[in-house]
This record gives sequence, structure tokens and C-alpha cells, in this order.
Amino acid sequence: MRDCIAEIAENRLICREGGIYSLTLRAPSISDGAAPGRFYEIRVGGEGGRFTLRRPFSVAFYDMDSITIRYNVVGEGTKWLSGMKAWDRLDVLGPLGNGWPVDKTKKTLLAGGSTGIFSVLGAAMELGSPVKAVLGFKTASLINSLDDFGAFGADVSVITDDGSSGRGGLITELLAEELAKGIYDRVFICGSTMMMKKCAETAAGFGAEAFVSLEERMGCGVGACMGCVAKIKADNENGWEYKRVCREGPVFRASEVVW
Amino acid sequence: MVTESGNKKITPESVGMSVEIAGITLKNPVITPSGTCGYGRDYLDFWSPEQLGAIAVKAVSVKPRDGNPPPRIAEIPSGVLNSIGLENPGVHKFISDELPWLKSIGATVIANVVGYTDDDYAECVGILDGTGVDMIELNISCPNVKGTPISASAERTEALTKRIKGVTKKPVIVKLSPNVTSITDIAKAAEAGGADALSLINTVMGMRINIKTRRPMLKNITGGMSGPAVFPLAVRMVWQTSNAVNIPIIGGGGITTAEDAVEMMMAGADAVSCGTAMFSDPSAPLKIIEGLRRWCSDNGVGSVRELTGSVVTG
Ligand SMILES: Cc1cc2nc3c(=O)[nH]c(=O)nc-3n(C[C@H](O)[C@H](O)[C@H](O)COP(=O)(O)OP(=O)(O)OC[C@H]3O[C@@H](n4cnc5c(N)ncnc54)[C@H](O)[C@@H]3O)c2cc1C
Ligand SMILES: Cc1cc2nc3c(=O)[nH]c(=O)nc-3n(C[C@H](O)[C@H](O)[C@H](O)COP(=O)(O)O)c2cc1C
Ligand code: FES
Repeated sequence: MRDCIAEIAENRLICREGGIYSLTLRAPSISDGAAPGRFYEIRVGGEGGRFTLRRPFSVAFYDMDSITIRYNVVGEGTKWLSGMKAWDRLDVLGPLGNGWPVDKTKKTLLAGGSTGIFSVLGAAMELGSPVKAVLGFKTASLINSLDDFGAFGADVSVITDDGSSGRGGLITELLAEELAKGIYDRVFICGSTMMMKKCAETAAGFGAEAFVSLEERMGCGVGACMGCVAKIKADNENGWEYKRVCREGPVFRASEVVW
Repeated sequence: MVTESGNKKITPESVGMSVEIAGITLKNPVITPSGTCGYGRDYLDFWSPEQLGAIAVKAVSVKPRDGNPPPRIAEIPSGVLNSIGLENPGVHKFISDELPWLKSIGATVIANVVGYTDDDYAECVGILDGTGVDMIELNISCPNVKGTPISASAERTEALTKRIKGVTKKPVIVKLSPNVTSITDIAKAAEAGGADALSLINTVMGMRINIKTRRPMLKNITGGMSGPAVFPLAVRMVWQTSNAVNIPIIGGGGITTAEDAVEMMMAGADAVSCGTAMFSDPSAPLKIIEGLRRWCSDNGVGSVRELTGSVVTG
């Protein structure tokens, strides 16, 4: 893990309705150790500003000296980030955490919902063609990044909650149809907590090994403060223990998560 | 810059950095406070515990503790609100899994101790007495556990300090809470009980609400504030306390720069702690150590010890 000052190569609005930006950061060896599902923490607001906590974002994809993250403007920090321009500099910490257990010998299905699609996009890049991704969005105007999945050779199926594009319904329907083919060993799932829980149940029903990427509020991001814990099954009196999303996670085996 | 003090040139390298707390020499005055640095391994890509004056490790209790349910962290303007609730693996695991490594690298270790009752504290300190920890810090002030913290009562603070002094030969630091009517009353009580040093401030009770959901941002509802937001409060309390007692003070709360450290020492601190600053900048402790050297040399100060209590009032 490193803390580096990176230059913004691009900070582009890719989905107006959703307020979603694609941010590419360049710095020597910024991507050392990067892997799909791992994340970076970006300092927002500049030094000495009112923001004390860094913002965690999954790495969507990367090359030798750059990383790309995709983020949704949801609050003050991401709003500040969206105002940054090419050539501006950002303080970036990472890569952090444990990512997806990418294994090309295991037939893997990707399932992403809303901003959760960015974490599985990295997995599409590493798994390479042919990989199948099922993606869920609220509505047609929020659909984004399909080209990038395509560029990595992924075969994408989209479902929208309101049926405004492609199929209407829940992502679990798409997932179940895909899993019914009986060809998948594992599923990587990232989205809202409810979406991940439901998808994990669906995967379990088909006997596929499921992994999820959890989100929790973070303090240090490096494992020091115990701020970001999630309940994970354990062989003790409680039957569970707290594990750090930033250190042992964010990717966990779905069967071990206490939802 | 090189300045002169008497006939001697002061350079950043020549600045005297060591300080003494309760008979223990710290190589510099910068400490990472309990709960912000784990047991010293998590920031190894940025600093190693032996580079610091001391490391105050995450609170330990006799038995392991789960802590509070998440979310445990919220942001406040220029700071953080936390409700970790003293999650820790228990003192035995600390002694077997963490302490040997800390001692092997030459770190000065402050064990932060917490309990539900006075008996718990005494038992935990008794267990630590036979180990290599350098100092004991009584965390009587954590706002994240149920009931009134001991630090809200002068009598209880004095009684517990006295009892703990009878259990260990190691120097005992009492960590004070800002969530009291009179910090000096509690400080004097700790001193009367035999405390070798004081550290302050622990976090300041606070609360935040997400107005969209109308729910508290922390599952525990309330938490403790730290970071730059609490710095002036900490400076004021360190100053008042240093005027009230004659034992060394570790001053902290919102320190993020060397200038903040200088200010805290001027207020009366013998050493300083910097915790939440690492959440923004993991290298903050080292930058503060280097910055202190530079500030002292730029300002004709030959030793950081000269800063302590040097505020000019009246
Ligand atoms: C491991 C991980 C990976 C993530 N990857 C992405 C990604 O690829 N793209 C993306 O758009 N978002 C991602 N998020 C969520 C992202 O971190 C938050 O949306 C962001 O921190 C919001 O900051 P803000 O200042 O705009 O919001 P505010 O609500 O103003 O932030 C206040 C505080 O809450 C924290 N916070 C708010 N929402 C979240 C959240 N959902 N998860 C964790 N902390 C939060 C902030 O970091 C900040 O400390 C990820 C979160 C985690 C934990
Ligand atoms: C996440 C977190 C956990 C903490 N845990 C403890 C603890 O276990 N014991 C303790 O005495 N203080 C604990 N504290 C308080 C700090 O040690 C310190 O006193 C306080 O944060 C003020 O300093 P700072 O602003 O430099 O962080 C904790 C603080 C934070 C932010
Ligand atoms: S954010 Fe501090 S331990 Fe995970």
C-alpha cells in the first residue's frame, strides 16, 4: 500500500442522470498490487480542509501507471471530487483490502447492481473473454459502462427495475436463469446489501460458490481503527465475529456473511 | 535554517528530541494514541512503532470484547465521530501475539487498559505487570461503554488509581475524559491517587443524524469526537490541567501538524499524541517528528523540552 500524489488524466461525466463519473489517475506504480475488488482511498477537500476521512472506491480497471475508478456523486466528498479537472492532483492511498478470488480455471459469473458494477468490471478485465455479466439498474437512464464490459470481452445482460430498457424485473431473475445453465462454479456479486443478500441466496440455491463485496463506513482504511467491521460467521460462542471490511474484506465468501 | 542559541548553532539534527515521562525516556515526544493505530502493524508501510516516542496500543481488557455494532464511524466537520466500543482480542492474546513483536523492534509500549469494574482493571493490570510493556494507561474515560465512566467522578478516579498503583510497579498514566464538569478536579484526584502521568483528551461525546433517514449516523447513537474539531478544547484542557498538577502530561486531541504539536506543548504537554490525523495522512506522526525538529531549529529552540508550558499569559 502506498500514499501517492496522482495526476488526474480524466474526470469525465459518463452518466448525467446518475451523476456518475469516470476518474483516471496517473502516477508511477500507482497500480502496483492493484487487483479487481481491491480499493483505493482518495483524500477529498484538499489538505487542512473540513473532510477528515478519505473516500473508498473500488478500482474499476488499471494499467501500468494508471487506475480508473467510477463514482457516483452522493454527498459532499464526491461532489468535491466531481469538480476536479484534468491535471489537478489527488492524494490516493492504496491499493487496499482483498479483492475477488479471480481464477481462470473456475467458470465465473459476474453480478453487479448500480455502482456495484464497477467492482465487478475489474473482474471482467482480469477474467477476460468469454465472461458473462448480469447487470441491474433502476432505470434506463442510469445504465452506463456497458461498452467497457464489452471491451473486456464480457457478454452482458441488463435488467432494469422498471423495464425501461431491456428486461424489467430483479437481477435475481437474470442470475437464476444464467445459473440454471449449470455451467458456473462461482459468482462475484456487488451491489446494495439487499441485492447481494438476495443474489447470494439465489447462487446458494444452485450450489454455486458466491462472493460479495461489502461496504462499510471507514476510518483509517488500513486495519488500524476497527471502524469498518462486518459480522462474519465464526467458530466461537457467538457463532460470528467482527472482521474488518478494509483488511479482511471487502470481498467475503457470501456463505460466511451474517446478513 | 540554522539559528543560534547561546554560542551553539541549532540545526534540525541537533534539536534535542527526547522527553521523559514518569522515568521512561521517549526518543521523541510523538505518540500514537490508543485505538487509532491498532497494535502497531497496520501502518508499517508508512512508519514503524520504534520510530515514535511511544505507541499506545488499542485498549485491552481481561476478556475479548466485540465492541459496538456498525456503523461505528461518521464524519463531522474537520473530524470524526466513532463508537468502536473497545473491540479487542483480550489481554492474553495481546501479550502472546502482539507484544513480543513490538518489543523485538524496540518500541516503547503503552498498554491502554479498560474494564467494566475496578476488579477488571486490577486483574488486567496485574496480568500486564509481568510483561515487557513500558507503561500502563488507564482508560477510565471511554464514552462508548454503558454507564457513567469512572472519569466523571473524582473519588472513583482517585480510588482506582490508588488500587492500580498497588498492583503494578510500572508507571501508570491516567487518561482523562473531556466529558466532565471540571477536568482539573479529576486530574488532581488522579495525582492524589498516585498517577505517574496524565494523558488527555479522550474523545468528546457527540452525535450526528442523517436527516434523510432521521436515523443516527452511528448504530450506537452517540460516539466520541476526535480530530482537528476538538483541538482548541484539548489545548484549553491541557493548559488548565498543567496548571493544576505536577505530573507529566501527554497532550492530544486533533493534532495534525508539527505546529499543532508545538502549540500543545506550549500549553503544558510534555509529549503529544496524534491519532485521527493518520486517517487523512498515514505518515502524519513522522511528519510531525520531522516538523518539530525544523520548527525548533528555525525558532532557536535547542530541545523540545523547552516548549513545555512556555505559553506566555498575562
Ligand atoms: C470498499 C468500498 C468500495 C466502494 N467503491 C465504490 C465505487 O467503486 N464507486 C462508488 O461510486 N462508490 C463506491 N463506494 C462508496 C463510496 O465510498 C461512497 O459513496 C463515498 O464515500 C461517499 O462520499 P461522500 O462524501 O460523497 O458522501 P457523504 O455521505 O457526504 O460521506 C460522509 C461519510 O460517509 C462515508 N460514506 C458515505 N457513503 C458510503 C458508502 N456507501 N460506503 C462507505 N462509506 C460511505 C464517506 O466516505 C464519508 O466518510 C465504495 C465503498 C466501499 C466501502
Ligand atoms: C477510532 C478511535 C478509537 C479509539 N479507541 C480508543 C481506545 O481504545 N482507548 C482510548 O483510551 N482512546 C481511544 N480513542 C481516543 C484516542 O486515543 C484519542 O484520545 C482521541 O482520538 C483524540 O486524539 P486525536 O484527535 O489525535 O485522534 C480512540 C479514538 C478513535 C478515533
Ligand atoms: S477502516 Fe479502520 S480498520 Fe477498517
